[in-house]
Amino acid sequence: MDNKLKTRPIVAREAGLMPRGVERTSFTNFLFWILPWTALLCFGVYAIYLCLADGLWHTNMDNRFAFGLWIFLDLTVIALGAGAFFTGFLLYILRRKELKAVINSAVVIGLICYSGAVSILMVDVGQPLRAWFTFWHPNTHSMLTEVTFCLTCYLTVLIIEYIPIVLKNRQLRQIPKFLVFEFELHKLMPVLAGIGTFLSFFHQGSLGGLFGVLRGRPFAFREELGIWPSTFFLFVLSAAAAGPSFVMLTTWLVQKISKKQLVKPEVMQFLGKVSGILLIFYIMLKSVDTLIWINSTSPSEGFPAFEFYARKSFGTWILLTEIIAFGLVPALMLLNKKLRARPVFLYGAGLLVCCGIMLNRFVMTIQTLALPTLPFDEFMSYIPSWEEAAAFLAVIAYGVVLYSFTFRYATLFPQERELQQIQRG
Amino acid sequence: MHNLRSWNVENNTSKGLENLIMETISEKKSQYGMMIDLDRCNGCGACAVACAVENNVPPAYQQTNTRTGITWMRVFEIPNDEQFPQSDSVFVPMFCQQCENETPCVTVCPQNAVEIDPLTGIVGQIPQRCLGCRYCMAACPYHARYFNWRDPKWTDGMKLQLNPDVAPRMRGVVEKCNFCHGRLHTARQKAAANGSEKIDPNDYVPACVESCPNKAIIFGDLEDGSSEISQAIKSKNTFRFLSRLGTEPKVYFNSGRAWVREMAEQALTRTKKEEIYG
Amino acid sequence: MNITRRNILKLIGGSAVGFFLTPLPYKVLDDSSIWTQNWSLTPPLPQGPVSIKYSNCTLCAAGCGVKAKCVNGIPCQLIGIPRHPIDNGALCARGLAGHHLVNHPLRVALPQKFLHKSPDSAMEPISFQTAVNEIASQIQKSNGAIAVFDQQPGRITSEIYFEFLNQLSNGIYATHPSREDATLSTLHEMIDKNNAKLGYDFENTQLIVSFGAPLLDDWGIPGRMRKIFGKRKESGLKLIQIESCQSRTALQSDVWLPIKPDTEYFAALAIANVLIKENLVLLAALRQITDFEKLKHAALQFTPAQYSEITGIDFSIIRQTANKLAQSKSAIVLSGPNPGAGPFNNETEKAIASLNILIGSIGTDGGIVIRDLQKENKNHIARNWNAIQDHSIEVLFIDSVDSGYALPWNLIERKLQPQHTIISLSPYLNEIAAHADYILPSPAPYESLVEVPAHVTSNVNSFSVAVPLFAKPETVIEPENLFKLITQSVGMQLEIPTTEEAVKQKAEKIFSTKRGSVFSYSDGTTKPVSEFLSADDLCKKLFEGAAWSDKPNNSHHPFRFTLNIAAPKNVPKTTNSLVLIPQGWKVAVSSSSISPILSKLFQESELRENAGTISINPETATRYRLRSNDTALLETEEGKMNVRVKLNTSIQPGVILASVGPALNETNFSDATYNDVLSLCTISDHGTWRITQAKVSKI
Repeated sequence: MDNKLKTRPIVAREAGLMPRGVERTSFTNFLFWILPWTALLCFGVYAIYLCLADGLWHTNMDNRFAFGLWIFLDLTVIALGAGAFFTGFLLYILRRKELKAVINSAVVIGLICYSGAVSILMVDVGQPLRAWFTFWHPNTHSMLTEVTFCLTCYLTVLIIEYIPIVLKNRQLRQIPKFLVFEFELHKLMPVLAGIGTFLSFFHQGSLGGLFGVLRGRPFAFREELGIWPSTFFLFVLSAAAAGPSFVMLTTWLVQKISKKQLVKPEVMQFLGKVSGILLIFYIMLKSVDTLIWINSTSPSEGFPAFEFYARKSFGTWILLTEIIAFGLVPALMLLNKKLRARPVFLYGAGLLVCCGIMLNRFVMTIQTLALPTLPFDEFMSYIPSWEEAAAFLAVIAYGVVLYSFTFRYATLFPQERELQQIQRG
Repeated sequence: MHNLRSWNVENNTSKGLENLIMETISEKKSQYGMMIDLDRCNGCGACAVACAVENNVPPAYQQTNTRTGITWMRVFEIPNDEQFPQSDSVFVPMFCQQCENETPCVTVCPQNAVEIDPLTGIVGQIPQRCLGCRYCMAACPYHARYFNWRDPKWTDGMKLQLNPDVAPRMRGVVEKCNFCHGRLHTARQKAAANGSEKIDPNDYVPACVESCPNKAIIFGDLEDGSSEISQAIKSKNTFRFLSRLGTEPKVYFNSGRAWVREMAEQALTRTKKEEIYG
Repeated sequence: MNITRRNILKLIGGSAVGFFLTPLPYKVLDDSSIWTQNWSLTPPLPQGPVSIKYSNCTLCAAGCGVKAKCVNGIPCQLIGIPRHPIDNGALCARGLAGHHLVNHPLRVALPQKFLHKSPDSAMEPISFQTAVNEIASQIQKSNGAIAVFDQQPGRITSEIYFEFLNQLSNGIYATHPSREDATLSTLHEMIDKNNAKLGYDFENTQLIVSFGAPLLDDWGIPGRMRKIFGKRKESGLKLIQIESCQSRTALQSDVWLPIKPDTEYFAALAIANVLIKENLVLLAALRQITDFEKLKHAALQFTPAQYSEITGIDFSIIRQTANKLAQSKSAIVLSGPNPGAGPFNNETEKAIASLNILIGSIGTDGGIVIRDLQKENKNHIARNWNAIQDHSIEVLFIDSVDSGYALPWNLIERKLQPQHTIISLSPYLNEIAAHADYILPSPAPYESLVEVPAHVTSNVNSFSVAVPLFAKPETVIEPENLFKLITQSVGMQLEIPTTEEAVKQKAEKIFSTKRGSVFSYSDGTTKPVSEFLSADDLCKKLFEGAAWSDKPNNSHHPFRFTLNIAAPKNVPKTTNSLVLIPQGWKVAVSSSSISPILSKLFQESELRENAGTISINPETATRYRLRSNDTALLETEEGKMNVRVKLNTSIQPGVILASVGPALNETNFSDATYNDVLSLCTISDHGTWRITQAKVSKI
């Protein structure tokens, strides 16, 4: 009885933080949802502490596998986080107003992905306290310099984009200053979207360039188009294709978990369509690029390309899966209006697209490093240590926690109130 | 200038000083290179040990293995494809090949911690500036770069036996062969003391070359047409590993055995047999 | 002024902007990176004057010249002496890091007594005097033999051991069964003149037939062998290596005869067979041999087909080898123990040695020459370890120096009485010291004055001294001082000279003969002995870093040989089972005798195999369903152990090469139980352990 009396005001206050007119689960339920994720996050933070304080020998990376799970994670989340820039681009630059329904969510996902990637990157490097050297004496020839600059700038942009979402909170809105600030920021959005698109174009590309320039790794090396290797453009395009799919997929997931309809199906289908169009372009270019690589780039370096696929675990199936199963198939599913209208195909295709981008980033990092270069090299394999896995999971847990809080206390889906009223009515 | 480390601490933001010193001492451009006679090498390991002693590379930790160790100079034994008793094998010392053209590790380093010295052609690693991102390791086709996965560890007595001319590296940075930079430095000081612009080739001999009991390694200036090495690399049995990548490594190998030269030219086909043997 | 919320916000905002205009954040950034550059966990470099010192390496009997770069007087780098007349300026991998051994993790700093008779027993410190008293009383009341195990005979310390043991009625001076001069000492026993010291004249030879001697893997004086083989193109020297697996030496040989394991005896007889049947034996040689019929009987006991069958070598190749031997202007046939697998048995040694007699290579240039003719031979009590009666030793002293060759503990144990006392003089807790009752540590390498006599395989006499490069800790004792204490305690009258006195005597002797010349380490000049003013002058030069080498002894003595060869009793059966052959690298058979930096070869690369590794042919692996890097169970009659499998096409199918070396991965130099595989070896009646029937299975 006493307890109830004591807790009630807190619960009431907590409820006051939620957006008006929408239903949220009880505080207890929310606590049960958030606690395991927080525990996972803490566990990951402990693993990160070990790596920082005691050295990177806690990972299973080695001199051959200089990059491992974490770089794969960075590449993947940055590609999936591309939804933020591309949705912003479509909404503010190309004026596709229907995307207002998901833009906030896209921005939060972007922020999670980018901040997660940057944090893991700071653990991954051997001397994180020297990270600012890149800004002080940058090597302008290095793709990593480009990545570092754009990543840092874009993360700042995402934080600025995230602020109005937080400020729209019911309680914070009551402070007039914040309301004004939020309004002013809102006017800035098209500018920020423009800057975000520009920065994203370069760092997504540079992440691709990161591997494409590796002359010493004929599996990854690609011919230059202008000043960038072809992987630069492929990464931009693939990220742009996967971003909307990931936004769509996360929205669907949030709908399932919160057991509410948050976005109109047309919006989801539009995202799917965008993804499909970009994907088909990407697949075409990727195929052309692969053919050029097989027939020209690789042989000219003295490496018959199919030799790269001679290992049991990394056979040609991996290339075919990436292009056909995770590329052509979902692209066709998304481009067909009838199929797109059916959730199974829409979200199934979205999942395939995301898997495709993960596989692509995996191949670029892990397969590139696993393959021998010297004639007497061995093909190597690598299994992450628990510390690496824990840090990886911590990023996911961090994402879930941040997203959950934002979803609970801020308006991520403007159509939610309308849709819930329809449902009730 | 004895302690490279303290030097770099004070000047971690200036990369010009080193060049300045070089310019005052030797203005003549050199291209240092090596040639290893694989028929003379019998894999005794003296070069690897001399290298570690000269460059203050720490001994292994208990858990260190072939993939996490730091071996600037590492000798591989490579068998031919024949079965016993037609088997043959060659010992190949592998270390930084000092690529001259589009040096893969130099172009990728985000903060100029890897530099190729235009006066010597030596690819240098500046551990005090290194971030430890390991991008250079991914870029190096020779796997000749090593990361300090742990803090270097010596017994207390051995700490007093470190080479005073080479700064030990800290955890979290990449290191590799630099043709014994400490020795180049000493040779330059000696040349400067003698009022000479050019160092005496006898004063600058890397530890591996000096220690090789079989005299299998020739070191010298490739630009100097009269040097032993520029004559030696003209042999028809001379080759370089992965020369087809176009990075122009300055380390040459030599073998009279045709299979060794063919092996060096092979791409991935050779390694396929691991699938059978595991 | 009113304090409003607005003002507070302004203040906060202003401060935030202003903060970035102060030097503080940039100072923090800069200082943090400077902190990473002065990483406290990297040791500071030694600062101080750099100097050069000269000495000689004493890790093995080769005694190579050493130039040490020192900082604050402490050696930080060793390198050979260019143009050194004996070792040609080469140091081996172990020698290059020999200066680390004073700081070896397995070093025993104090005299210790083991509390129980087991290798893992606890130790407690003991004073030298107490230990000596206890040992002396053991010696006095013993009824068994008192033995000193000297792994590098021929030193001044060795003579002290002789003297000591000579005065005892039951003294045994024991040497290591693995001897690099095995062929020479076998020949020595066949010769009527036992005062001749023999040596190999490799410098002038045209052909070397080596029965498994690791000639190019740091055998003998490594630099000498490498110089000779480095010039093979010009000199026309050819090497025929007869060995069951393709060792580093076999790889570099001109012809490699991959014989079946442990059939060297038959291979040697097969060559003798050809020599005799095809009348290739020198007539002069025939006349010198007193019991030629015995050899003839032994060699002709088998037909060529049988020899081919036994050795696995086509007889035409054996014939070619024999012909080359007979036709070559000069040739040497020699055997060499394997650092891991130990020596051949006596019969094999005799068969190999007698080939030299048949081709007349004794006493000829490019053959086996007389290095020296000694006036008196003190060697009469020296006994090969295998020649000692089983269960006879009651008190055993194990000398501090290492032969570089492995010795199974079982073989030592076999010679001990059930109640025995072992005193190890080793500065390290190595595998044999772990079995001792007392460890009375000697100075580590480069801590004491050690004389370097000519190597047992040398063709010329030489002498140099290894001057200490480090100050000796007070808690260690030189063997001569220890024996001084022991003789006093036992009540013996024994004149024990200090090494310094002995070196002086030796210098006087050299000076008086006026033979040879002295090579100075510091300037690389050579000066004839006759140009030295006095013996002291010569002695001073030796202490400064110099090597005296004699000119070749060209004495040609007519010898008579008694071969004492017995015909082989039985033919080895061919079995399908696997055979285990231990394999090692000279000096590196023990963790304690190599610097931790050797982990670059053993642990951080695959250049040398550490203990617990077996190498097999891929064919053998397929047969036993093993893959590279699998863990397998290795079983013999003596026991079993887990091993890591490596595949190597240069190994004969059916052979398991088990490496005897430091167990770096498991123990990181902190444990001495490294060469377990030796405990799996069956020790034959001849005291050899070259081959053992074994089984291997996947775990």
